[in-house]
Amino acid sequence: MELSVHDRVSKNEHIAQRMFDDQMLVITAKDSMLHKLDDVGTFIWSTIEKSPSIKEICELLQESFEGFDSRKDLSDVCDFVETLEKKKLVVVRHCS
Amino acid sequence: MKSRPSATLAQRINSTASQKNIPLGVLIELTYRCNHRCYYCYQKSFTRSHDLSQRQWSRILAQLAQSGTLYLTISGGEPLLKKDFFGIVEHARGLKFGVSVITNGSLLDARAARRLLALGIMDIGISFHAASAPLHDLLSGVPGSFAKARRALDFCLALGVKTAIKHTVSSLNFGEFALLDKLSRSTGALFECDSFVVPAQADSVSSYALSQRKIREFLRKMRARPFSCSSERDTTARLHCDAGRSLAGIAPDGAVFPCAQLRIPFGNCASSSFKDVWNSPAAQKFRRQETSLSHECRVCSFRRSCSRCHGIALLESGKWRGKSPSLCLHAAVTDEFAPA
Ligand code: SF4
Ligand code: SF4
Repeated sequence: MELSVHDRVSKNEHIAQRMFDDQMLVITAKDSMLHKLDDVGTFIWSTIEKSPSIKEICELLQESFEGFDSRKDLSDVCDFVETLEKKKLVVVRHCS
Repeated sequence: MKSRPSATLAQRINSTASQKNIPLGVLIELTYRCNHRCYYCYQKSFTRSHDLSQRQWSRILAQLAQSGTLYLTISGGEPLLKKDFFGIVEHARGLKFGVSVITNGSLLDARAARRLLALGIMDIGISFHAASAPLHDLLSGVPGSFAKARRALDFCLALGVKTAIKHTVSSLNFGEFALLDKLSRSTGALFECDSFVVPAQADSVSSYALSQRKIREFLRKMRARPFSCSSERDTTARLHCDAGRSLAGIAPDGAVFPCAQLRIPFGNCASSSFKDVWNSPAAQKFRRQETSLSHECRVCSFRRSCSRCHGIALLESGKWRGKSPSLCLHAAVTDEFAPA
């Protein structure tokens, strides 16, 4: 299902995570797969703490990253969230 | 001890942790108490143990999280004997550690397995001395222990928890590794097998250690290196390990060691902060010394085949940077299998 800006993202509760050398490491408990997030990924991950909508994530990115454009870069954020979802790091609640 | 998926990333992370002395993987022993009486156990007492409280562990776990620990292995003694066991696991999961548990399986019933699953633990290792009841029970000293371990294995696997059969190959159970390997493949469990027996007494080789002929047979059948620990080994020299850099061990009373297997005290994190202990003069001295091993190891012709472990060297010879009988014997036999 395609993501909409209103969809809410929360962490899979069965992950392990740690800030490591300024970047976020995340493990999915089920398969012990280790993932490393880059700077922007780490930032987005930190925003997911409060189950934000994709729109809210974009707003936070715009506040913190110069040059980030909520409208232009929305699809990149959606792609990233989709990847996180595929890897079972997050759960997306579809809201219209 | 375990091979993790996405190995290259894990190796890179581990090497950064090692360079920066970030204790990425920590093994905590919750208690020395145990309801088994395993034949090779080095524990002096199975009933007395000065154990930290859940509150003390909570504080230490928070400090470990702050220090960068991601992998937390909970062991003992038998960790499920500690009445706060689930509270400690819950706290650890709340702090987002990737938690592994090592147990003899005796107390791991369906309810306990479901609780661990609900807490999102990463994996469970269950110790097996043999693949059938008579020998396992004899070696654990407890009748019925095989049935319980087997039941625990089934509960965990049925729930989809990643579970490993853990086995130490010795002169008393030689040959069982092949049967346990088969069991692991038929059940979908992992198989973790060591052919080093930790000596029960300092400065000695375990009386259950394998002979040269048996090590050879074991290696031929398993096509495996004789020993692997949780540390990512230095593949060029293979003589060093990450103990005291990216790995640490903490005893039931809070004593911190470079690795649970390597009992060189850094300090006690019940009375000081973990950070202070991790950066203590003792820890720094250990790291300085670790860079230069004994002359005999440095010039040894078997070094390419040696799965050198400071912990085993310390236990067997009293000199952690030197050679030790089991290590040298394993290396010599392993070298027979190495490409010319
Ligand atoms: S085989 Fe023995 S002497 Fe050689 S590196 Fe290993 S422990 Fe040292
Ligand atoms: S001391 Fe032995 S068990 Fe500990 S990390 Fe080193 S090689 Fe592994």
